[in-house]
Amino acid sequence: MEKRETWLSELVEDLTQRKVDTIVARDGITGRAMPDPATALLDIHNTYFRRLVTLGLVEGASKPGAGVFDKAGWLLPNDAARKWLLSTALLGMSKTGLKPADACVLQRIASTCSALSPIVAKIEQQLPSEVISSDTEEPESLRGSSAEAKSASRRYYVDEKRKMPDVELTRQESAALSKAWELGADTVALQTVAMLDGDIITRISEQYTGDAYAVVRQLHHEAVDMSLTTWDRLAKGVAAFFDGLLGRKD
Amino acid sequence: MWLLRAFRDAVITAVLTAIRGWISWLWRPLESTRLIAALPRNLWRTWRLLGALFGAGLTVNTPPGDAPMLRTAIVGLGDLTTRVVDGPTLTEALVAHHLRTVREQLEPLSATPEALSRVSALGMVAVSVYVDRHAVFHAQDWLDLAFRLIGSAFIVSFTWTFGMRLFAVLAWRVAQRWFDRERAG
Repeated sequence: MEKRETWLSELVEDLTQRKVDTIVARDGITGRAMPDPATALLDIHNTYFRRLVTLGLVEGASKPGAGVFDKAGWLLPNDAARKWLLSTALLGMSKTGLKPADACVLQRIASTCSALSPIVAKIEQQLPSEVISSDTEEPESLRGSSAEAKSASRRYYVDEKRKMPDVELTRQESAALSKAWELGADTVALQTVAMLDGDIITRISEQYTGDAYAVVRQLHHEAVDMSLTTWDRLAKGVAAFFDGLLGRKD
Repeated sequence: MWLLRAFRDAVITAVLTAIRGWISWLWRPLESTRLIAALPRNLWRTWRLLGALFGAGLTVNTPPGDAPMLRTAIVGLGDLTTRVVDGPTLTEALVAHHLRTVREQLEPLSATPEALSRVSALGMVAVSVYVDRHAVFHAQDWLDLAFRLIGSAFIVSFTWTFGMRLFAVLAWRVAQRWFDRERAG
């Protein structure tokens, strides 16, 4: 009963708000699909970690405890790593002199790390401990390579020997993980939030207001239109389904 | 009681679906033909699309491959994230092509219900022809003819809608049992 109610409330919650983000990437983008949950979490953790390193926030952070990093120097997909990221991001937010865009990213890292808490707990619970513990062996392909090469390589994630068992997540947890993986730690250029009561809020980063980014703004406008149309069709479909069920329960 | 209510709702929906389907047929016959021809493929695409939207999400890359210039991900029933690579290669034509591809991926969501309403209208014609051939009742004037058309439209649409409604209710009951079994461990 509880599961069913959770599923229904998640569905209704999902239908009450739409968010459209447009990100301008400077370093290229990946074309691959989201991997399995544990690898996706590994990816999210290390994307956040690299951003914190870029912002110079790791040196002053608290010393990571055991089980946060593996032997290759990667953050692990476990709760200890999540907590360390959260505390480092929160500490960074309290620093003065941060650019507003960087502060937004830190805010996102902190809020996503909090939101991922139940997902990380499930991954820890369902995966064998050797997959997510710091005893994980460094992949053969990366042995002997420099730290720089290791951080630049994504082979660690797609190493065929490192196949992760499947983790059972709810629909909303899968969506949250997928969203976090897609957003990464990049600055959002344009964001639109549409709510059920009809309110639509659009935010634009100042640097994307010029003529040079007219194409990006047009893209965002079309994306908002597409999102609202999709939402409208799905909402109608769900409403029709529940109409049938409620008719039965009258 | 729920069977009677389902019957009542099916009657109302059947009339509306058939009339809507007929109007669509008369208004855009070519588009209607195209939609019906694509229905078998679109039913499968809708199923897969809903699976993706209700799960990890739908991703579209332009150009497809390992190094796209634009990437759109739709997760959580409509939350949309678009990522673009900044640079001179980001042109209006590329953006238009990307958006067209995304719309094509989402097309089954609208095309399938549209095609189904037209199938109802087609079924209405088929039943009308059957009724006429077997002299179930003869049309004496236009009023009779109109009655025959609407009546047969009703039969087809009602059968379809009532079946779908029964399927929804039965599916719901099976799902309830499954959830309860899961809960009990």
